[in-house]
Amino acid sequence: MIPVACSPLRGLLIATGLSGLLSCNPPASAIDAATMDDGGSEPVVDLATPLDLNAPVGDSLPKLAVAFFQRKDCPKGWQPLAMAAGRTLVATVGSDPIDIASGEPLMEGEDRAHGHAVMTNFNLSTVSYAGIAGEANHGLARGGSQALAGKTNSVPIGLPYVQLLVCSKLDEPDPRLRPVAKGTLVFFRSPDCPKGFVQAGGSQGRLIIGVPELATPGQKFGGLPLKSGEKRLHHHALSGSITTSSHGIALASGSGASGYAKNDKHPYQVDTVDEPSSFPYLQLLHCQKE
Amino acid sequence: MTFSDKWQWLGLPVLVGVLALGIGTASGDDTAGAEAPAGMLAFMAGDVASCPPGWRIAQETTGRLVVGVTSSDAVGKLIGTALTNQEDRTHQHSFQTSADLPYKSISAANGGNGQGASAARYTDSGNTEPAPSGLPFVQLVGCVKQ
Repeated sequence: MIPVACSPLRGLLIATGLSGLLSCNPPASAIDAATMDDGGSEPVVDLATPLDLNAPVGDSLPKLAVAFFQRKDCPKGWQPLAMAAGRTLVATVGSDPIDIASGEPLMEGEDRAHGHAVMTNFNLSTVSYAGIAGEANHGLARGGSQALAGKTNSVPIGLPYVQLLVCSKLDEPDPRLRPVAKGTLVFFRSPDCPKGFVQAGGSQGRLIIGVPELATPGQKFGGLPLKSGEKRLHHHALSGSITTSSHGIALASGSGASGYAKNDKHPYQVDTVDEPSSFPYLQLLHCQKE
Repeated sequence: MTFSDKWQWLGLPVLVGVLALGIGTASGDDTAGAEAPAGMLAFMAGDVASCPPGWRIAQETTGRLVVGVTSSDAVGKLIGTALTNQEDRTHQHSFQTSADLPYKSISAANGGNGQGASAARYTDSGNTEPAPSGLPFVQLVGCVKQ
């Protein structure tokens, strides 16, 4: 007999009738992790530590998996993924790199707003006078192409979301547990999908939305897939008019002095300056269970 | 090595296995024995229309993106109105513009011909046309491990 007493095992040894056969010899790793009991003479195996490799704890998901959770704390073997906080997850395209973050993370509950600048030239129709240009009167406006500038107010892009805990897996999978079902999609902080998974195709470069009520899953819509780290831009068309006020001149209309702006309603049409669509994301490899 | 010593080594794995069963069921860990931890969200491939056994439809993701948080108090909060089928949500802005029209001098006094515009700052305002975000989407079945 090896004179090591594993106190928590004693009851079981007796109960199973094996007490006469076994000497309760824990593996070296267990001894390393053991603590001494009050007597200070015997190592006591702490059964709460993962010393017993046969215990079915954890899950079958491969290491480096990243997932959202509808729970308050990350499960055992997982830890919060700070770099994904305030972001949604987007599947990389092809062999694009992982861990690329785009945009500033959202604050809790934030509905991120944005605005656009307006910059263009518009054309003012002209009039002429029966006189000559000179420095006597500065009251008339110059016609032709003139600068127009402005801005929009700030509003959200209106994309709804749900906040869920985001965690990454640190522990190795327990191979005795059944795998996730075929067709399950899992993000990974890894350049390659683990064994039993292949890179998902339909989600590459796209933001994932939970399928709406009575809708068909798998439908793709919106813009083209995002390139690595891309901040997708958008703009708005707008139209308006500048209505001038008149400035009277003591000259008849004619052909001597030309190029003065006509007193009129001058319409314009322009696109706003492009701005990012402001939905921050982290790109990770998206894998599908075979 | 005596007969008794041989039995010691044969018996050890048996004991470890018995202990393992006991620990696994008594640990109170809700993930024990499951393919995924309870509460985990997983989307399914586009050709999958339902959740696997042991998973429920993630109603909280219906028509919504998912944003990660690391604070437990923030979990489950919904922001905005859910999207409908293939809805490419649009938004619009109000705007204000202005134009500073420079003068063009003329050798004449002010008078009665009002065909010309005054050199001044002019402003305009209105609403832009609605536009989508330009972002690409895919709608997938979301499932939560029970």
